[in-house]
Amino acid sequence: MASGETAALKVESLTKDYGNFKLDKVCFELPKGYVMGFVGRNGAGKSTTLSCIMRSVIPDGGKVTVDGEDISENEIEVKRKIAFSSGTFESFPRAKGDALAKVYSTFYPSFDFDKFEKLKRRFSLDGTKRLKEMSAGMRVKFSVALAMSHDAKLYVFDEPTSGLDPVSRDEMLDLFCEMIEDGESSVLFSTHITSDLDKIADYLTLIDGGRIIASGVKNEILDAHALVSGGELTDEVRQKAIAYKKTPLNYTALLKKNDLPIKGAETSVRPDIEQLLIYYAKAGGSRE
Amino acid sequence: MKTALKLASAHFKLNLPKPLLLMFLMGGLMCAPNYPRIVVVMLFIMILGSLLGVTRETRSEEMFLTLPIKRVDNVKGQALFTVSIQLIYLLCCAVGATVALFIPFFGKTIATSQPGLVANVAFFGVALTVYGVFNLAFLPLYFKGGNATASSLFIACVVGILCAFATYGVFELLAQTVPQFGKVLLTFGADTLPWQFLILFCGAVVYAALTVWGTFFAAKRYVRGS
Repeated sequence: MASGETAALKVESLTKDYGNFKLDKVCFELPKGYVMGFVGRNGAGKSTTLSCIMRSVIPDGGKVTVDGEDISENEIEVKRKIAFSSGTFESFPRAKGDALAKVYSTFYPSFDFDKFEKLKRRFSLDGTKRLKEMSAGMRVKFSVALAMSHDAKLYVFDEPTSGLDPVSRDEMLDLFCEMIEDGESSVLFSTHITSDLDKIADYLTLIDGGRIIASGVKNEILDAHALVSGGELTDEVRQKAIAYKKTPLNYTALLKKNDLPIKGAETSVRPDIEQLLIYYAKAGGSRE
Repeated sequence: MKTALKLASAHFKLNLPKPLLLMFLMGGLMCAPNYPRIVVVMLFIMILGSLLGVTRETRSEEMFLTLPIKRVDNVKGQALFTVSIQLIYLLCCAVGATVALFIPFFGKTIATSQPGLVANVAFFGVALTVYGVFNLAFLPLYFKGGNATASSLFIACVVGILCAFATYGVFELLAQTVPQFGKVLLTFGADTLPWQFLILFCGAVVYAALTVWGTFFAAKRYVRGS
């Protein structure tokens, strides 16, 4: 991000303690005009973080600023700049799509029915149907269409590609790319489908066990790691590896690039997001 | 308040299963002979409980919280929704009570056949007071812990109903032990009509005050967090 430029979203030391789960000082920053993938396994804290951002859950501590404005200080105005969609969208099953849009429009002065109609056509949605009559994928699309129909600067989507077939997922990702074309809008979306992130994410935030493992430019994060493999698992690899997997004949380990070269490693490749997620989850995020 | 009104309206438009509207017809039980009217009045809990159950089950409240509203608006919206249910249902009861005045029953009318307080004008003042006490007990418990979806709807309803019935018990006791009260609450006499209207007015004031108080306590808990 250019110095001095206000971030689209800045999350600072966000904490929330549920007793059996704790969101531990979550920090990340999304510059304007980019897509950030928020990735982690089930129960890692993705949805809790997004709920804290949207204030449907009140965090115990920390600060969330959108376009430089603290959401806790000017909740209504700041939320109007955010388009939020929750993936599974199980709310209001008896409501018809168009009726729900009408209710939503009363809360967003900039709600644009023409845009909503266009998105409905694009996603082949029938607004006269009740939400419970729509398939899970259709509900997700409807939720995204609804969220995108007002003048938002930050799009926050919780698992927007879950339940979608590959073609619909691809369409959705294309739409995300279109949304940021103006250079002012930004997208934060949580997912555990890492191939989506490979396709469109510029930035990446990895979370596990309520802690941020890594956050930054996707390629920089991936470049900073190496997936090494070899025959015999040496003590050096054990010590330096973030996590490793061992079979009777060989091993694979994830390391920080800085820790290379390492004795006993026969091959070294750049990991993909899925590998990064798996190995960090295996390590419990302890090496960051 | 405008946002709270929008939220209350959204509850009706988005969450209300239409067949549930038929439950308002239970107000017609005011015409049933030998059926305590306070039981009819308290049947509103079946409508409220069912609707809030739907709201909770579908996590609608969490969705509302992601809209550009403040948490306190959500509590106010829920309180307005509760008040709407109560007043619509009480209106249905009033219609039933009026009809009961004209249905003959063993030489009298059904209206005079029932046990307990009679359904005159004052009775609806008592009913409003009972509803007010319910709201004072129910709303803070429903929003206990700052998250309505995590609190116990069942406990909030049970405690609310118990408090409401206890309040009714006080009125029943007063009617049976204090002759002046008895004259106003146990008869349809036209000579007590001004007193009946006074009780109705006082009931409305108490209802409004207790509901606002309950909403205030609920909001205080809810805004603190979840």
